Amino acid sequence: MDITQREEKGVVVFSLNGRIDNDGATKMEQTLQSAAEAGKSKMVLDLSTVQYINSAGLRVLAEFLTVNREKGGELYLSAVNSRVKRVFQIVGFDNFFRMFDSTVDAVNAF
Amino acid sequence: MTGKRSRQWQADLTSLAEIRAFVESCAKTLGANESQTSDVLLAVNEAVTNSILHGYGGAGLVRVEVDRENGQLCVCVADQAPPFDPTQHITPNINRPLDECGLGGMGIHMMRALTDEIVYHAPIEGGNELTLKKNLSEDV
Repeated sequence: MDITQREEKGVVVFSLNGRIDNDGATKMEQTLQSAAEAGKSKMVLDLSTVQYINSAGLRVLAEFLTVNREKGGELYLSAVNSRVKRVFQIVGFDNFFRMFDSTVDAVNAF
Repeated sequence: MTGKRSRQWQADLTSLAEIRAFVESCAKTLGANESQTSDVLLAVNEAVTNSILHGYGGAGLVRVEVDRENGQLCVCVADQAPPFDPTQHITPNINRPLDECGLGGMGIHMMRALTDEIVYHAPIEGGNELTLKKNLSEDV
């Protein structure tokens, strides 16, 4: 999985491309933690080109969201396709993550 | 039964892509639609990943059998790892806040939610057989 990042209005936007499987989850965890350690707390994950997420990916996102919130930060998800959104709904995570139709909306929500 | 297909792979995460392709091909042949196939692929991925990472924790073999029985797509994931019955695993309480609900068992929860029935069997000769069943017709 490829991850690129940029900053918009003080919000770090990560664009993920590919499958969030075990390897992808590890890469995503490292990327998010690096940003957190660099003092970033407002983050958006653009999932527009992610077609798949497994339980390892969900676990990483949930754990990171929990820790980040304890530090006053937030992590929003944007452009989540229906298949990935269904996985979030299945495990009940759609209640915990704020999802936006577009990355622009997510950034503006901070 | 309608033409059971079976293949075996090394218990390694690099085998997952081939296993998914195998199951996807079989599922379509056996009449699963896109949504049913997608759900089963996610569930099988979790089952095989559990076997590889938590069952063996090292070298071994994973056998995957796909069949259609009584209007259900049945995918059996078999290994020779120490016996473990995931159907006895407690489902995480997803109605509680994330920091309270505990995130263990997420894969098993996904398997349950994505399929209609999960059957575990411990063969007398050892290992595990976990069969994931997905209804293909409304009259099941």
